Amino acid sequence: MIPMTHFLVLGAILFLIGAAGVLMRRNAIIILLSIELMLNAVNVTFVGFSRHLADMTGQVFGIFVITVAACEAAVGLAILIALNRDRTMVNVDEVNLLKW
Amino acid sequence: MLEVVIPDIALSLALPEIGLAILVCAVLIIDLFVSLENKSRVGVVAFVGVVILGLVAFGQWGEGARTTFSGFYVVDNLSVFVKVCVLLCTAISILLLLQYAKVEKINYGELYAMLLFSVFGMLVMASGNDLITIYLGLETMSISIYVLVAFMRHDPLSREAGLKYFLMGAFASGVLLYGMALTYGFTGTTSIRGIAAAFSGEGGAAIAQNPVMIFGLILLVAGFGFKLALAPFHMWLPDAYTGAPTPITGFMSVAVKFATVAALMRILFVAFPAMADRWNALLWALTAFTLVWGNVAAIAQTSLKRMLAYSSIGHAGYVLMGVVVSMTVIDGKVTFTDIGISAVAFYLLAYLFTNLGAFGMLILVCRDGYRGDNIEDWKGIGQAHPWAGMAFVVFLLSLGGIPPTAGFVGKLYLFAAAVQTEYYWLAAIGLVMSAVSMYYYGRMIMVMYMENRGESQEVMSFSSAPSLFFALVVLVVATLLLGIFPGSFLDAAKGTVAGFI
Amino acid sequence: MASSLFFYFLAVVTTVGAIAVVAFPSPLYSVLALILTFLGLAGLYLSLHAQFVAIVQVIIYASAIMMLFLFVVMLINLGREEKRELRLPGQKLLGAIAGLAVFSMLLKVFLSTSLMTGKKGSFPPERVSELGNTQIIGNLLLTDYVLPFQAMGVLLFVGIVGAVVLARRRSR
Repeated sequence: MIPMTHFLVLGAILFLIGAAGVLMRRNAIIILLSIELMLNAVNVTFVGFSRHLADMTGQVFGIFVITVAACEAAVGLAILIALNRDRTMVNVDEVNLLKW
Repeated sequence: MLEVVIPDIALSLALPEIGLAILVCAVLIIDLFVSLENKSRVGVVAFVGVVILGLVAFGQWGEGARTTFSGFYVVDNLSVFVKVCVLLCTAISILLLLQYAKVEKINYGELYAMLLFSVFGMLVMASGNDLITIYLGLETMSISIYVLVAFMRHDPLSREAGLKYFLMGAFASGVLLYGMALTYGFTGTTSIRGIAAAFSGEGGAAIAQNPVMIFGLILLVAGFGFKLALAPFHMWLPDAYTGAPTPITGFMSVAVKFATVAALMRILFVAFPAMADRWNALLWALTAFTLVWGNVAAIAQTSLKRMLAYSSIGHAGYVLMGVVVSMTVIDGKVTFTDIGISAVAFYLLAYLFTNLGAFGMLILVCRDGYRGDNIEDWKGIGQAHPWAGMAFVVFLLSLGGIPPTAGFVGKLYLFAAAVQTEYYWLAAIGLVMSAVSMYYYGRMIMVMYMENRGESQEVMSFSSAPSLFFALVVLVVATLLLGIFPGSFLDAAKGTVAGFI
Repeated sequence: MASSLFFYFLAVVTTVGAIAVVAFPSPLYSVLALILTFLGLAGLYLSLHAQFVAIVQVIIYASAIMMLFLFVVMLINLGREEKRELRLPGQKLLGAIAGLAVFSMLLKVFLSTSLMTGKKGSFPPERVSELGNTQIIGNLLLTDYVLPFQAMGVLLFVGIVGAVVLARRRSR
C-alpha cells in the first residue's frame, strides 16, 4: 500500500507545475491547460484522501470537479474563439487595449 | 446490496432556487418567440420573476436556521438577507440593462438568462452549508459572469476583459479548490459543521497546528481574496470592470460581494473558529493593503468607470474590515460579535444602492458610440442638468461616507464595531482612507459644478428611458432613506446574526 | 512491491507530462502531453480503487474535453508565441531560485506531515469492493448529494448556453 503522503506530494508537484505555467506562459490556450493541470492536482489529492479516510466524499467531489472543468473549458474556449474571430491573437500580452 | 435511503428533503426551503431555475428556462423559451426588436420583453419577464422570487425569499426571514438536503443546504437569516439583497440588486440591474442593451446592441434573451444563471449560483452559495455546495455555487456564478463580461463581442475591450477575467477567475478557483481538498483531507469531511466538529473533537488541536492545514487555509483565503478582488489579488478587476457592459459592472460589483462574503463568513466563522487567530491576522493584512491600494490608485484615474472600479476595491476592503473586526477574544475564547457581522450586512446594503446608482449615472449618458467615460466629459453638468447632477452628488457623497447618506451610516457603524472590538489600527486606516476617497469623489463633484464646459466639448444628453429613470429614483431615495432613517434597516442587519454562529 | 513500482512509474509519467504541458512551445504538443498526464492519473485512480473516477477521467477528461481543446487549437490559427520580455536582468534565475525554494519548503512540510489516522469513514476498501464503487457513487449522488447533483446540472446548462452565446455567428 502506497502511503497517502506520496499522493499528497504528487498533487502538490502537479499543482505547482500548473501554477508556474499560468504565471509564466503567455499563450492563452497553454494557460488554460495549466489550469486544467491544477484542477487535476486537486483531484489526485481528493481521491487519495478519499481512500485514506475510507470516505466517498472525496471521489464524489472529484467527479464534480471534472464536470466543472468541462464547463470552464467550454466557456473559456468560446471566449478565445470570439476573440479570434476578427484577428489572430491568443497571446495574453497582445491583449493590450486594457492594461494587463 | 447497498440500501437506498432517500433523505428527508424539504423542497419548500429551496423555493427561491427552484423558482429561479424555472424562470431561466421560461426566459430561454420565451426568447424563441420574441422578435429581435422586442427582446426587452424578455427582460421584463425576468424582472417580474425576480421581484416575485425576492418576495418568496423574504417570506423565509426570521424562522431560525433550518437545514435540508442531508445538511448541504441551510436557510438562516444571513442567507435570506443575502438572497433578498441579491435579488433586489438583480431587479435593479435588469432595469438598468433594458436601455443599455438597446444602445449597445446586445439586447438578446440570453443576456437576461445568463444574468439569472449567475444569480442562481449566488443563491446556492448563500445557502451552501458544505464546501461542495459553496464551490458549485461559486462556479455557476463565476462562469455566467465570464460570459456576461465578454457579452459585447463587437467591442474588443469587452472580449479582452472577458478573457482576462476568465483566466484569473479559473486560476483562483483552482487555488480555492486546493484549499478545500486539504481541508477535507485533514478534517475528513466537507460539511461546514462537520469541519468545526473535527476541530473541536479529539486531536482537533493538532490539526489546527498542522502546517499543511495552515497552508490549505491560506489557499482558501487567497481564493476568496481573488474573487473579492482584495489587493494584492485585484489585478484583474480594473480591466474586467472597465470592459464589461456597465450594468453588468454594477451588478457584479455588488451581487458577487454579497454572495462571496456570505460564503466566506460561513466558512471562516462556523467551520474555522479553531484557526481564528491565523485567518484573522491574514485578513487583517489583506484588509489594510486593500483599503490603501484601492483608494490611492483611484486618485490617478481619468476614466470615470475605471475610477469606480478602483473605488470598489476600496469598498471591498471596508466590507472585509467588518469581517475582521467581528472576531474578538473574550477570556481566551474566540467570539464573534453581533455588531461586526451586522456592520458587514448593513455596509453591503448601503453599497448596493450607492454603487448601482453611480453606475446607473454612467448608463444614463450612454448613446450610440458614446459612453461619457472620461471625467472631463462631466464638466458643468451640475448647471446643465441640475437633477441628474444632484442625483450623482448623492451617490458620490454616499460612496465617500458623508451624511446624510447610506454610506455614512454604514461607515459609522463599521468604525464603531472596529473600536468596540479594539481594532484601533484598522479603524484608523479606514478613516484615513475614507478621507483620501473624498479627494477623488470630491474632485468629481468639483468637475460637475465648478468647471465650465469647453467650447468644443460634445453635448451630453441624458437618456429618458422610463425604466432607467425609475431605477435611479428608487436608488436615490433608498440611499437617502438609509442615511436618514437607518433604524429598521439596522434591525434587519442585526437580525442576520440570529442562528448563524 | 509491484504496487509501489506501478505508483512510481505512473507518478513519473504524469509529472513528465505536466512539465511538458508547461514547457512545449506549441499548444498542440501541450494538449497531447496533457492527455498523457490524464491517462497516468486515471491509472493512479485505479490503483486507489476509485474505478468510477478513473473511467470518468478517461472518457470525459482525456477524451471529450481534450478533444475540444484540440479542435480549438486547430480552428484558430496560432501565431508563434513571443518570448516574455524580462524587466530585470537575472529575473529568470531569481524566479527559478525562488520557485525552487518554495517548492522544497512545501515538499519538506508535505512529506513530514502527520495525517489524520484515527476515525475512519463508513466505506473501507473491503466494503467498497463488495458493493462496487460505481453503485456507491450512484447511490450517493442521488440521495445525499442530490442538491449538488442538481446544481451541477444547472452549471452544465450554463456552460452550454454560455459557449453558444459567445461562439456563434450573429445574424445581424
